[in-house]
Amino acid sequence: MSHVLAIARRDLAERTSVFIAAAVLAVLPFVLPAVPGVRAFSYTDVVTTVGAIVAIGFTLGLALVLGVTMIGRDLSEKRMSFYFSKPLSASAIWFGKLIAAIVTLVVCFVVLFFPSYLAGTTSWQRSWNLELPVAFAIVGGAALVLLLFGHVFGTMFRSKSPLVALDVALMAGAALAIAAIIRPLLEGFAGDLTTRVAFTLFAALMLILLACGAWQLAHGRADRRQNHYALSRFVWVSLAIVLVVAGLFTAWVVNVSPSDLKTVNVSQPEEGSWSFVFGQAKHRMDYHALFLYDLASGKSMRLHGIRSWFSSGLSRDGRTVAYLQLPDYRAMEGELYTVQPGTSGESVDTQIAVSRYSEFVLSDDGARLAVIDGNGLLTAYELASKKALASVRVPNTARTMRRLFFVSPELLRIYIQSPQFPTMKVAEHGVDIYEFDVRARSLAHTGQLRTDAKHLGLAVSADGKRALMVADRDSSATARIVDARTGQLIAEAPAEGLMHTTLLADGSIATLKKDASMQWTLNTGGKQIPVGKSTQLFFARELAGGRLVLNGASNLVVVDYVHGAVLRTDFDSAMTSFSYPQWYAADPRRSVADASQPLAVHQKGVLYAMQPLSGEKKEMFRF
Amino acid sequence: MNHAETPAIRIDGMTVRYGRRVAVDTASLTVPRGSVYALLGRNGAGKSSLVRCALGQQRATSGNTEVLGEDSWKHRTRLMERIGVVAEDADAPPEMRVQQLADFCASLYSRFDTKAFDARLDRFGIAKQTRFGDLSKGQKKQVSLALALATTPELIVLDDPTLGLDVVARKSLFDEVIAELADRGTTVFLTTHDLTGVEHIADRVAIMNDGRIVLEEELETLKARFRRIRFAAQPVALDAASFRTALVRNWGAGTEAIVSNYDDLAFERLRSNATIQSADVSAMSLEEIFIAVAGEKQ
Repeated sequence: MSHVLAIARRDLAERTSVFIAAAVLAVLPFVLPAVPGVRAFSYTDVVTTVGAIVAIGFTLGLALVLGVTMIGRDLSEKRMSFYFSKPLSASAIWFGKLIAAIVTLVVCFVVLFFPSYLAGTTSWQRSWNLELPVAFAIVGGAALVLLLFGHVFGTMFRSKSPLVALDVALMAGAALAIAAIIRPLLEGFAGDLTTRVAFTLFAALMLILLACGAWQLAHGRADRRQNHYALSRFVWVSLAIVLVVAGLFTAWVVNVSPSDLKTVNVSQPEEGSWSFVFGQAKHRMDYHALFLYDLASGKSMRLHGIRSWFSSGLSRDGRTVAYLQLPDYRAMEGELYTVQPGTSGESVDTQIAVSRYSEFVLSDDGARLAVIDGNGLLTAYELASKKALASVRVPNTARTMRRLFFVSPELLRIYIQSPQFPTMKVAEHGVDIYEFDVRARSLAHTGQLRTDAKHLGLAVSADGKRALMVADRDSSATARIVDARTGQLIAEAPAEGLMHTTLLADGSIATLKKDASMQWTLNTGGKQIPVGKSTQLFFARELAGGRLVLNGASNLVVVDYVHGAVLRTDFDSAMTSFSYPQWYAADPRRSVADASQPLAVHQKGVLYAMQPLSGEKKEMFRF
Repeated sequence: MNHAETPAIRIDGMTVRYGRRVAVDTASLTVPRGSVYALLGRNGAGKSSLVRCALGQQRATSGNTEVLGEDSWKHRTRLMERIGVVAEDADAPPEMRVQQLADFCASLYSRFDTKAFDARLDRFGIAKQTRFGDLSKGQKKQVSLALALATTPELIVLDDPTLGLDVVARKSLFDEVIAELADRGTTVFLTTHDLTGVEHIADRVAIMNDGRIVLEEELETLKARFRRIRFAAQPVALDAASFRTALVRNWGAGTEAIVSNYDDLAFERLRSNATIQSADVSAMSLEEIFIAVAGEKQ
């Protein structure tokens, strides 16, 4: 230790001129307010602002210079033998010089910063809006980074060795490796985990750079090129080990199956056997994963770059999924991918870039895709050729609601909520209905839905002929059956809200109501069917043969609405949630499922598929 | 082998490469304790590379080096407590004052003799408040030597200590080394071009040429076996007289030969040969031997 201090003292004794320069510069902020043109500003504001800028600039600049010179200059001027001809270890030389550099930086910063800070403490805090320890930590951290990187680059470039080319190549390789480690975490929407991994990588890099000087001198000693060789070997081997460990960690984080989820959420399209299973993964902080899960086979397939089923859609035949893959959780734009989970299982990049606020739907056969962006630009694509078939700008677009579907492969119907963002009220406007002929490239305004409601729900019958519009006012809601193409009113009934109103296969409205004692009643076709007591109940799906499935958090009720009878009531308090119906999917069409199996999450960590008619529970997986 | 028998330096098969260039080629030498050992060689012969490797400042490509009985690469830090070094280029930080240098070294060596250092500086006439960078080349060497000797070393290594010095400075420097030898019997290992200076103090010499040690022996033995023989005519059958010639060249109308295994009896037999009109033999200085061994080829 005494040798470390001897080296530090020696280096510090050499830096008198640096301390004098800092002291002279410390006067500058106090002189500057006297300069014409600067007098107009507040004296303390000028002193504190200039003082802080000079202190930070000088300290960071000096850190870089010291980093480049503290070892590199002695090596290139062949003076390192002075130390190595003394009984000094390489560690003592390195840490002595490092301590001297850090003390120099601290003293210079204090000399430059504090006089101006003390002259206007309040003004400084107002201008910089930073706690003093935080400011010191930021400047100190940045200075240490510059010092250590300066040392590494100084040693590499002063050696004039061809090895520099390899270093540059390895630097690029390390940057790519770091990106490859971080990116999958961002694609898993793991902001906290990414921050922690990035911080750990940075801390490991700083430790490597702190230790590399001692290793370099121990193995390179007084020889310039040997120093470079030793430094490069230590830095790149250590970094490679760190990156391999980090890479293995990322691989472990990313390699999740549905049973690795900590919280399971499910969303179930009304047709087909594939469902979306998503949630936060165990032991992986905030890493999220989305899977396509086949109820028939129990197979799952991971969709990357997407957190939940939002921004995804299944074709009506249940064979093709389109989803928006974002490069990271903050990205505003991504690319659309498609996958046919039942066949190839390979995700296909459609090379269609869309914003986060775009809506997209697949044609019923999954061959075509339509996208409408936040500005109303509607484009139809053919997926096989990845070609845009036609585009049109739909007027009066708001981001509050855009629904669309392929009536046929050549015809798109679009429902656009009229008011412009950010006005949320639809009272004065309602919904405009358009049809876009892809082949003729013509857009026709086919109808309007007028309402005085604040919020609006929309569902369209499977054949696309009738639409249910639920207008939610402050105190009441109304359900209207309208012509899905023109908006012409067909029938109207009081309603509770979108989740408590549905469009039945026969084209009529069904509504759910509860009384003060939490007793629910199903109203349909003039019948009032009591369905039992529950805190919450909503329409899950319609089965063939005039049967409705209703569910709450822990209960499932099957009603034969044709005959006005409750067929089954299952209640299991351990069931924490049932699958969400896709109320907010871009395609507003509802359908009748022949063999729907609602998914239920058990609090003991089991996902069950329910047979609503028999009450049978089939365990899908444990998590 | 007890402590006294352990050589001060033993180098065995040292090779130093810089890329494809071989600076030191399987060099071996032994420096006995208490001796003054001079390593001679032309510029670029590989002397400094050998010294740096011997001091553990640089790693040899291959070979073994022991200094004072220890591996100089592995135990450099410990060894430097016992070794004084004067580098070829004055390597002390130029901003430091002589006094600061002395204080710095005093904090590193347990046996640093401040009084001896001060006394030498007085003899050299160097002010202690002078910055090292402001000293002349000779003064820098003198300060470096004073620092090295003040550590009371068992071995002092001088890498070309008189390079670029005038006659007075050279003499003063060698006087200090001789005085140290007289006082404490320190082992001296030096590389130099200054053959006349070293001839008076060296016990043993080695000549390095193109990275190889081409000659290593006691100086007196060396000087005894090398002779210059000049003949009035040529050619001369030196081989027949069992002389090994280091060099044969024309000398006026006659021939000059440098032989490396001279002995008087053999020479008398040669001179008595009827065909030889006249032959003179003369002793050679170290410089002449060096030129004959290392210089003539270039």
